[in-house]
Amino acid sequence: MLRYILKRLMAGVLTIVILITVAFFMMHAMPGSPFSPAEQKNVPPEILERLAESYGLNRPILEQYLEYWKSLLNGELGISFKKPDTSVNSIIATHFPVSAQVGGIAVIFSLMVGIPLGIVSAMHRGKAADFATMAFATIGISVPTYVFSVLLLWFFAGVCHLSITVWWDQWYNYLLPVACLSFNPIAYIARQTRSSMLEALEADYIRTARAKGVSELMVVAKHALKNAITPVVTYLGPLVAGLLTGSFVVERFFSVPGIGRYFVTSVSDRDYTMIMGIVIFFGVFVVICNLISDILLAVIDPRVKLSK
Amino acid sequence: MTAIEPNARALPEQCAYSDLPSELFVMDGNGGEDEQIVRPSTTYWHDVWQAFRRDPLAMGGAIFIVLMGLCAIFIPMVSPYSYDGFFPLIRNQGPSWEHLCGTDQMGRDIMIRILYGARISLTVGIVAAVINFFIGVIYGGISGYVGGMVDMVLMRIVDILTSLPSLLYIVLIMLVLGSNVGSVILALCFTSWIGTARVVRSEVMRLKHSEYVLASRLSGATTRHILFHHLIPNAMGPIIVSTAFLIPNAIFSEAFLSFLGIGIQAPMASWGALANEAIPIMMTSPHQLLFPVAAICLTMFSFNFIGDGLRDALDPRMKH
Repeated sequence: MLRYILKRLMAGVLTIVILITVAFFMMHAMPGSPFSPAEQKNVPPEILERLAESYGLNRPILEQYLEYWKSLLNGELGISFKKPDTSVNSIIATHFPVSAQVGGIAVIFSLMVGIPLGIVSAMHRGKAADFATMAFATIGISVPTYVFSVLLLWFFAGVCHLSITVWWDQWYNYLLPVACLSFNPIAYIARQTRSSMLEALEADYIRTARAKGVSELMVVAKHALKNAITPVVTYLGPLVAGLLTGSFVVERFFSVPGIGRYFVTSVSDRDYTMIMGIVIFFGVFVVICNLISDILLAVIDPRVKLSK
Repeated sequence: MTAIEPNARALPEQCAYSDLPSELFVMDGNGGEDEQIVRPSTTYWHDVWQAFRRDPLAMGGAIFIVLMGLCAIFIPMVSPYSYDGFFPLIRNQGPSWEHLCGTDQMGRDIMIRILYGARISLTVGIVAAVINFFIGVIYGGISGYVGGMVDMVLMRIVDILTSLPSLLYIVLIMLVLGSNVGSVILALCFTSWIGTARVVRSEVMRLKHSEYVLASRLSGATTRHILFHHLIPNAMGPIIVSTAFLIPNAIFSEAFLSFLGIGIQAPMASWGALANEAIPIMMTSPHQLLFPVAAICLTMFSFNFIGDGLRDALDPRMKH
């Protein structure tokens, strides 16, 4: 087990190193630069030249690359080009907790609604409850998050005349962003749970459990669920990584001061240090989440061998 | 003769049956027709088509997509309206007989813009799915069949690609190549083949130790022949299913990019861009938002139903 985790961590570190390298050179290959005279028309070219100089952008690219690694190994992601007074570290440190909070609630909410929905519909296969759940799940999978967000916004602001576009630190401000973020995951988890639950309920050990007189509740909760849950756990890695690092659209619509918007603005601003910061942050997050979900999987299902 | 003594008494009875006139016998069943092969023997693909045809949701989805495709191709040819222009007298009108879905801020007919959007969406969806299909099949096929070190390296590359934040590199590609249909397709194809590649890889790994592969290799078939004539055709079911779900994903992503304003640019009409344009005025003219949104949702529904139907038809093990 420990060996497996170490091995996976090593592979993860290698992945991140390659990721940083690829992202760094891709980013510099992009046309335009943060201080190119063509884009910053209001600033005199001499000043832009000086700015580029001070950020070391005129030096050979390999030298910049090594320089970046040097500061990275000291834990420094550098100074944002767009906000010259703030470091990328502090931008992530201020905005990530907000995204993580909203995303974390959305993950828990999705699990708490999605799994029971899937179980109920599997247990009432072919009946009204099953039909209603699957109709909901199909809508949830087909309707994109941004469409759902727009419709919610239209409904609450346009039809009910509620003022919702301001982010205050009140509990009810979380309701709409969490609803939007968890809409798709709930549907996916419910479908996944239902189909693996149906498969599990047909297994021989379930018949054995029923034959020896285990109550239906215990059959489902103890025997079937354990096997039905594995696809959901696999899905959990990418889900947590995706939701905790924020959603561009949901955060923009509901004015959540999270980190999601930097996924787009950092590239369009050519904010090199911010781009790299986001890439590294997200990459590390994905690697860790996938590792945790794999370990969880092995804990739940001993048939999954970690050390292969 | 003593050995068969116990049967001696039964023998006359058996003989007696054959002496009875055949009119006394009533033929059970339908005169041996049960034993005849009445159905023509079916192929796998015929079975799949039969199963798919019986799925009302999947057929409904397929009919909707075909109808929308035909409308998107032909209606703009005969319609008096254009997707572009400025008609100040008829701005922001609600639905009417002249403009079934109303008009937008520039007085353009929304229905014709939705149909032009359908051209973009369907093109992006289908082209992206085809490209992903080929990349995924080749990549996953090689990775699964060759195995070992090659497989390790190819799968690590996939790991790296999946740990890139997708929005970030899509924005990057769009900035480098400019906003047009081609660059949207390229940006979407950057990683979406990974799902197909994984499916192909696991199917190939499962099938490559089969007897028919061994037989083929013994009779001197090349690796390429085995891969593309034996393994991939046998893995076609799961591959088609994963490709079918790629289409709605691509359409979704294109609409999303245009919605963010980094996809298809005005005056071209993409569903995402139409929805985005309508947001600032959604309180006063909600129809401008609701019609494009309905188009997106209905298309997503249809493709998801088709995908579900194909999965049930192609892979009965997955049916629940």
